[in-house]
Amino acid sequence: MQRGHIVKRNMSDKVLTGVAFTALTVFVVIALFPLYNVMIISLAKYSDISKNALYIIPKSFDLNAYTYILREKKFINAFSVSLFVTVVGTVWNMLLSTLAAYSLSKKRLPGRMFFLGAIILTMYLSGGLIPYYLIVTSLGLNNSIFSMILPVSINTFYLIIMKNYFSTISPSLEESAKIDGAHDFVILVKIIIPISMPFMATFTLFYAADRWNEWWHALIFISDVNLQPLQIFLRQILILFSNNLSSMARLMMSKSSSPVYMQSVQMASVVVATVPIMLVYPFLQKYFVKGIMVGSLKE
Amino acid sequence: MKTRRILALVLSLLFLLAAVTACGGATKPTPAETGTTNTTESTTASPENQFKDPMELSIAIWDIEANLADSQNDALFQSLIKRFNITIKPVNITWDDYVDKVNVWASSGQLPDLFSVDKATSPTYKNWAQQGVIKALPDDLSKFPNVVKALSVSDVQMLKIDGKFYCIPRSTYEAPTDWCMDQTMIYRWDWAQQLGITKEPETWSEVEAMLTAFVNSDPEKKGKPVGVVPKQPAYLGVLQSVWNPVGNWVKEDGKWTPAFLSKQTLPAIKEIKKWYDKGLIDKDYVLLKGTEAEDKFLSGRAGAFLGGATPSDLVLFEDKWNKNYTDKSILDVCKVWKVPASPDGKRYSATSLTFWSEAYISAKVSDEKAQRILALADYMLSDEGMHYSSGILNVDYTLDANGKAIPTDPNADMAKKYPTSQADGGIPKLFNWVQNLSVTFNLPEYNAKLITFAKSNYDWYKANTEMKPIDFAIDYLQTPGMEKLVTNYPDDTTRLIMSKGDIDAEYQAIIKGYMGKGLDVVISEVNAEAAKLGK
Amino acid sequence: MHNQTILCIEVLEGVSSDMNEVDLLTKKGKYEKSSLWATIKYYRYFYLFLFIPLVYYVVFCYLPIYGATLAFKEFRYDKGIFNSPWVGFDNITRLLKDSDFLRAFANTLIISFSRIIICFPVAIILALLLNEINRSGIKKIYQTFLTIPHFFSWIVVAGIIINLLSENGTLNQIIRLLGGNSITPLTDPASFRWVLYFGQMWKESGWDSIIFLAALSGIDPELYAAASIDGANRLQSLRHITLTGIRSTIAIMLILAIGSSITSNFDAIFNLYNPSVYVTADVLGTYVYRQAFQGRADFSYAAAAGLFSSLASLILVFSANFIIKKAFKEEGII
Repeated sequence: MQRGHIVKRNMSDKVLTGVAFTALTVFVVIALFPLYNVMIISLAKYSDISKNALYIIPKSFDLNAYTYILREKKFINAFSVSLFVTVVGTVWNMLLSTLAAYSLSKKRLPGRMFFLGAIILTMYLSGGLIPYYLIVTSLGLNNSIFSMILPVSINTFYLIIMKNYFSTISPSLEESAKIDGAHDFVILVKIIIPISMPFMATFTLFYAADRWNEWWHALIFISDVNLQPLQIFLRQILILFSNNLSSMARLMMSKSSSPVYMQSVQMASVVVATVPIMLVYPFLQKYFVKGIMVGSLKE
Repeated sequence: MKTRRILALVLSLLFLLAAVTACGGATKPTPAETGTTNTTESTTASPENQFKDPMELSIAIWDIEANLADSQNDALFQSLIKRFNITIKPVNITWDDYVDKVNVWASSGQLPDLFSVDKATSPTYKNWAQQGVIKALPDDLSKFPNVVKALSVSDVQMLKIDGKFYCIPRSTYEAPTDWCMDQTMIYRWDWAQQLGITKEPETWSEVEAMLTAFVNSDPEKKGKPVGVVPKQPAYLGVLQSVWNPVGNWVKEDGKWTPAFLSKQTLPAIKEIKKWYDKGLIDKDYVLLKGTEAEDKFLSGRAGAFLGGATPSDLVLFEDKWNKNYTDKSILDVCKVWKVPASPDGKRYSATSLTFWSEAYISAKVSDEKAQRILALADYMLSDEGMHYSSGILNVDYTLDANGKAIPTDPNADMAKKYPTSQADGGIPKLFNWVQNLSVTFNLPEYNAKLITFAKSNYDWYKANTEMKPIDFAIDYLQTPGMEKLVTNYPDDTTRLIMSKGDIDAEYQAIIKGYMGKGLDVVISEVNAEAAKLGK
Repeated sequence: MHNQTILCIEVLEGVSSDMNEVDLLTKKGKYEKSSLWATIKYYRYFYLFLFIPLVYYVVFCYLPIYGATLAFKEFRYDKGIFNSPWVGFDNITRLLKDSDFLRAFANTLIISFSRIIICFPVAIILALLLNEINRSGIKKIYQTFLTIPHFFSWIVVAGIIINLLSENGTLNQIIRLLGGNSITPLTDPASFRWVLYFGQMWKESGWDSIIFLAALSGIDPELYAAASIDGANRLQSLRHITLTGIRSTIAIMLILAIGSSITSNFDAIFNLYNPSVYVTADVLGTYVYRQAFQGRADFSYAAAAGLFSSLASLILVFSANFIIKKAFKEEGII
């Protein structure tokens, strides 16, 4: 009896796992299809896609669209602006968030509840676009690369998770250092941060992705073309379909020997713009799954 | 430990300091500024002491950045900036974002010294003037006769606020009906003939038959083409005008009403909707951006295009067309439509003011700088300046007694020689669209075939169409209620055309919505003003 | 079981008090009878750490909140946000008569709610499915594929969507190949919202499933063993153990998603919409943007509309909280 029961369960287990696996595979295929589509169009030859017919099985491997995009001055410029914003912005984000989260994790800090309350309130209350816009411009941040960094110095949500995480660290570690006369900043840098490395890496990734994807602040604060980040460039060619490209690139596009299809260029720029994320992501994935769990689940 | 403490403090302060100073926002030098000059001397001597201080002008006009990309090697441009001892800092705007950008700059006091936008017929113009956003032109313009001339055109007078002009309107055509060149339909006559159509379509149903033939065929083996595609959604107005040839305001039953509320509007929209529902109008037309629509037409993916067919349009079309078709010229196989007659039996020309969009000077510009800008404007509006696209006077072309430009080398490619000279925006169009047909029909850079094509269409329109019954004095009235009312009739029209529901009810709902927002007030204000004018 | 107190509770309450926990401070003898001043002195460097972050919050969050008073002024270019003249409720009255605004307000609530109702279960299902797979290699690869779109901006996602769904997009090419008539979901008011929901699903459900997966892994395996001995089948344990186990996580995530849905709606809609779908797609964010930056540039009117955006977000959070209290018998968070 007992034995038969177990066998039966194993059977149904296997069936269920099989069903789960199949269903999940369907989800993954659906999730991957758009990316696959982007990829093959970016690599297609002009003659293969200009015919307006279904193009789903790659017939050609043509890097023209990539050559084109990588030679486009505006793309290179936008890429470097985004790189700057991502590097400087992420460092600034992490510096401020770590300092604030660590301080707010001190449960006896006088005024902590007030600070915390005031900070959390901003998640639900905001002045709205117009006052925000007018105040940021009145600070002279218009057309400054720092308009993509300073107004987004801290993500409150991340800050709270970091604060929660820091408060799970056993106080005994700090205690002994404190008795040795170590400065609070030194404790943070020498003890707290090193033992939180996976966690810090997670939030560095989050912030870096946010800065890399920045477009909204650039849209309203940046009008100097030299300061436009990558996402704005992408918006112009993907959504506004602007042909406002530099003359050299236009010359190349019109060269009859190797014509480039605009759609391929669009998709190639999507690929190039997402490649940095795709490269870093799989390596950091295990950290952030752990990081999120530690930060969000308190025993 | 102590040093660490100090270090921490210093670091935090540094960050704060960096944050504060960074707000100042450094701007990079642009190619135009850093470019060294290797100019050929300007043929007309520049008045030496008049412009002795060098000045930098920041200028926003459509696509100026691309226009100036190769300006270092452009002798024409270099002589221009040398003449006025200026450097130009381009501030780019595009056709998709210019309204947003100018609004943003105006609100934050970041306007470039000189910028272009079409605001003079909206209440914003008055607000800007009265709230210190834009600079009034000086009363004494005697040094700038060409500017005076541009401001003396009759329909420009309505732009005076308390006796002062706050902009230089960008003159477009000499006559209100010259817009027939700008708002029209151009179609594939070769396809039509291939499909057995022998007579140029001249009525609504003939045009419909032709478009139907287009969408049911596959003339270039690229898949079925779309019938007609509008340059921008608003260009469907070309079709709407056939049924309802009006301006902004129309007098019905003794009362002035906005054209959108005219009794003829919904029937006209329904006619267009029929075409849309039958698939004769590009299903994606509202999503098209930039030059996508004309690209569709010029690459054989659409049979007709609603847009302009002026010489300057045709030049760009020809260029793109030749990349797609090596065997035939667009001027041979395409035709501009002969506008179908309206229900009253008459054919009407597209009709509008003689100017479109204006050049503004920011209020922050000093009087001295404003004088320099006006001098530049005066030059660009002179015969020589109007021929900027023809190169350097007496080098690349000469002017005969009638003001007709004669090229010295008919085969010279101005776009190669002077990259800044050709643009739909940028330097050549700073203060004038140079569309004036008396000028464009004489421009040396347009080939004879193109001019013949454009001119024959123009002549047909002159002979066979008349001006829409528009009273400009009422059409552009400004009343206080308009400042609080935002209307967007083109968007509403689009919504009705694409609607799958009961469009009578939707139309009524839209009107009811506007009435709630204050359109009723505006209507009574306009009628009161009209009564004062005796209209 | 209910030992996972999610941070979010604390985020939302902001008043979690753990004063009775043993703290470094009280353990140190010399501060035991600490006066407030002594405590402050003990923590002095933490105030230094907090200084710039607090300046940030004051300048970029609280100044704009004060600036929202612009809704009751008439913006003048020469006077700026703080000195423009007061006009009382003028802008608000105009707003309430504006059918476009009312439509945007309704759309904001409808889209935020339905998007969550539609997209949320998908994330839970994904987590449950992932949880069933024991081979960690495949699990990890699948998770990577499912979560990576989270790191794409809405601009990229919108570009991909337009490329798939336009008249000549891949989807229509497939439909035409199968003999159907092409569809235009991006210009059709009825289907546009579904584009948003599917876009959101594609971008975020993999990511959201991580949290649920984390919650699932917190369930004591012995419970399953016990259930199995009691003769429960897989579906029964799914219902009674798994779903019960992550119930509180679901509740919290739901409220959080609702809180943030207004901003993410803007990103998606702004990059995808067009005049033909304003009827169903225009939300407060896009409406405010158009009032301020396109056409008339009516800043005080737009600021007034912006106030309602905050109101909408409060309505959403409170009603979600209410529903959760009733439906899930969870504590709720407010």
